[in-house]
Amino acid sequence: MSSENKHFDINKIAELAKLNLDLKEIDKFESQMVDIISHFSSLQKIDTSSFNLKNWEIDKNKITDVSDLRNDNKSTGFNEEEIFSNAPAKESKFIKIKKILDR
Amino acid sequence: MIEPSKLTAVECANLIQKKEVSVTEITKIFLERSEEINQDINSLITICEDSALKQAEEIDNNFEEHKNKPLLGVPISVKDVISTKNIKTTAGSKILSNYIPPYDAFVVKKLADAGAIIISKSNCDEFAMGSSNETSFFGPCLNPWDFNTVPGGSSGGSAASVASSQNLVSIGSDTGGSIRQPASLCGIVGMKPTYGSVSRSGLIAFGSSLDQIGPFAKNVQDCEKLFYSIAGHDPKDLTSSKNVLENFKDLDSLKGIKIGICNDISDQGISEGVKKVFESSVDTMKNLGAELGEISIDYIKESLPVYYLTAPSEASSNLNRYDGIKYGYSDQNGKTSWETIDLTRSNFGDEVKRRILLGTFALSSGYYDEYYGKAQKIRGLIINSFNEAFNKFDLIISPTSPITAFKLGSQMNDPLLMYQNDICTMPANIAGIPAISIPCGLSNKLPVGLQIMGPNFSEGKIFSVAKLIETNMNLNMLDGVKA
Repeated sequence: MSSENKHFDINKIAELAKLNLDLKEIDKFESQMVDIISHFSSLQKIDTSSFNLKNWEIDKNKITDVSDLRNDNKSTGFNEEEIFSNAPAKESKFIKIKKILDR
Repeated sequence: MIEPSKLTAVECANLIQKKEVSVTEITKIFLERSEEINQDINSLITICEDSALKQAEEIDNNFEEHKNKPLLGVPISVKDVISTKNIKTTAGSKILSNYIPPYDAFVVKKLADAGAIIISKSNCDEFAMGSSNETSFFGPCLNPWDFNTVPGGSSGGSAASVASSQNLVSIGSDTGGSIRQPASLCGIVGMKPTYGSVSRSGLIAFGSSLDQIGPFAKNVQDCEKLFYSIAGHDPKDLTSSKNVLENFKDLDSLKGIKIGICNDISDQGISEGVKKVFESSVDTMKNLGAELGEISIDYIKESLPVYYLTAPSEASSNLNRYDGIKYGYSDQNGKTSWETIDLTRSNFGDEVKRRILLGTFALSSGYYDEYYGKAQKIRGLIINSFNEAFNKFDLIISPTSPITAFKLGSQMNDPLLMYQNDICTMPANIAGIPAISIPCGLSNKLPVGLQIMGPNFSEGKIFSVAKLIETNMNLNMLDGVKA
């Protein structure tokens, strides 16, 4: 592992990402991620002090105006059958899940 | 006698309008062809026979009501990351392998309004993450030009299905080149429209600030027709634009059109074969009277890191929703809900896991400014540089892909090498600008694509210029297709 990426902790990142990796995956992804992140270190050399990030999407690109929201009107949504049609498990009007507290 | 490989979408709609063939007849011809060719190249995940025939029959029975629709009876495939009501939409993944959306994407409704018949859902890389269609849970799609090579990706199935005339046009999505690169590798036309010109509602999200839905076709005229059929404002997509898009006049020369050659992405890293074909297309433009010059875009060479920090960051957030609780594949073998989430998410493929990890890292506390934040600032500088370049030039060109179709499996173990496939296409997503890929010749019997980029909402001009180049190159491109 290169010195600049010694801070890359695959176990911590996997936990944050809710990915339960096995030992083989940890080995493989760790070395690949370190390679990729090292490759990206070229960005750090670029001086971006002249650039004002604030609102660049809106002002600089002039594609969309996010202040133009639609009216808050009532409209027809999905019916109950549609909402539950893909649920892995359900009981009456609820999506059924396994217990949350493991006691 | 209809010959699918010789037919275009515009011709198809004309034949139907003149009642020389019914929509049901056309639909059956292409369904049959899809069944047959799909066995060879695996370009389709679902063939929608029942719904397609039902829709065709409805049009035939109420012909007067439908007859003036621009895509009347045109058979189309839709990339399987775009939601279709009551038709399985898998995103090429195990996680959504059983998912049946209760609603249609905005573009799917637009296609129905235009009279097009969705006959299939096309194969793609898992959650549109890949440049070869090899990360699909449903297996790789093969390139109809050479079954040992990839069709490109992520919309590989869309491009391959059009090139092999299983359908006349297709709809894909493009986050870093996922329409243009497969169009290039399969010898057809594909466009990534301006960010905001086509609604993303109903598109399974990957990198929301980069994703854009767009058309595939055999020629520029069909591509244009399809684009105008799916573009337009949608109140359900906050980034959807209200700009009214206008057709540009047909051109008979390129006199007065200033075209910049972006050497940063047209020279280094481009294979000799591709370079040679690209240069011949530059000669065509010169002969048509275009004013050509060189243009450099600041920081465009940093597009790859900027892209691979931005897209995975957005993906890690977007894909957090797949937890096996509300919809999609669910592994219920654990004792607690936490185990459901863990067990379910371990069913993502390697490339998706890699990108979720990369994005989670780039957004994590302590590294956010250094990685994600820095990438956004450089993205801004790239946008500024494009804006300045378009003050000097009407359009900017480059090859679409640095190489032609590559061998199956040849890049799968080297993610960084795979990521280089999109070096020419990623800048347009980063800047939000429209870009088309049109075929411009062959290298070693495989297609090469020319990319034409323009300023925001310049689709009309891009189509007009592309049509003229296409006419003058007169390539009869798809004669080389094997499937």
